[in-house]
Amino acid sequence: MDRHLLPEELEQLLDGDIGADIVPLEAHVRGCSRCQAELDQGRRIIEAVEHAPPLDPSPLFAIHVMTQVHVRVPWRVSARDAIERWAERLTPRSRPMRVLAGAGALATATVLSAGCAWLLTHFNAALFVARLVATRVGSSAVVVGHGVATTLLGGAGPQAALVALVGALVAAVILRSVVAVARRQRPLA
Amino acid sequence: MLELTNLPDADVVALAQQGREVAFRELLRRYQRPVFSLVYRMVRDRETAEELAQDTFVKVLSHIDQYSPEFKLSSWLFKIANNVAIDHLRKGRLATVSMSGNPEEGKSFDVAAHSPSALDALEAREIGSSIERAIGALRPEYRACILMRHVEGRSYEEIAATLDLPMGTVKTYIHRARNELRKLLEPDRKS
Repeated sequence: MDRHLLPEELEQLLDGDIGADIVPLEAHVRGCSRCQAELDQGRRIIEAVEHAPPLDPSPLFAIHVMTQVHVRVPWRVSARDAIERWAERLTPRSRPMRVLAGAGALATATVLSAGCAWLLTHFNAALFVARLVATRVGSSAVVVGHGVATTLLGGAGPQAALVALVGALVAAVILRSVVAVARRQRPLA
Repeated sequence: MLELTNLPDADVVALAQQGREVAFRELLRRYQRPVFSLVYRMVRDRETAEELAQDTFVKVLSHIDQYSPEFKLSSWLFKIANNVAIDHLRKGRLATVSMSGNPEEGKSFDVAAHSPSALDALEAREIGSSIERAIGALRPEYRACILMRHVEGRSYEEIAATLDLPMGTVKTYIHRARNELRKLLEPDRKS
């Protein structure tokens, strides 16, 4: 090479590029004190920038940020947390009590499994009994409900009771949503 | 008690998306220093840098549910930090026209001048060295690129993705920034 390096060629060396076109540049630098000096100066500048010390924000920086951030907790996470807290409260603390609770759970599971096995082997009988119970309970509920509504509200009792029931369900859903939103949108302390 | 120090960013973000306060604090612990450093070196005023860096984190953490793990969290953070800093610099730069009407004589000045204080002394120590002054004299676009490349150690590809620039442009900015730094530091070297 019968000329000095161009600025972009020096930058290629500073970037640490590799390849066939870099070899003649490196060869030139080895034999040219001016280009070597330019390259060394470039490396010193990069080193100075790389060694610029990190700058720390104030000690209250994190607190100021956290007071401005509103956390949204998904409903499924809230539900899971509530179930975990409930399960933790019910779990016995001492080992003997945990063993006893485990034995009780095992016994309950065994009885339920045996019951399910019996139902499967006596399916027709179980189905007959279930239909009988459902018919009797359903009829009784309709009769009782009609009687109560008529007694309390007169002739239009059943219809009014139905409207009142639907209204109560809608109000409960709305109230639950409002409470859930209020609980989710709490700022971090 | 959750131990988050060794978790990758994506896992910590997943916990933050579940509303875990400890995950928010961990993200702040990891990135408050590099984000603040970048913003401080861009705007060169500590109080302003604190506000802008706080704005950056509030924006990111308040919309953490929108983060997609296919992108790096650090790139998203630095992108917002850079945008916030550049917007501030654009708003704060007031141009005045000279009495003769010659635009060549126009000057720019800081919005708020203040008498020297302990804060100024701190700033002078932090960003008063020749290399820091030289970095501060660069154009904001060059400054952002060279800080991300040589202070944060990002690759050209990451910088291009963070700043939404073609990689060729990033390389050009960094090369020009190095050339300007060389010229700015030349008088110091000779003395």
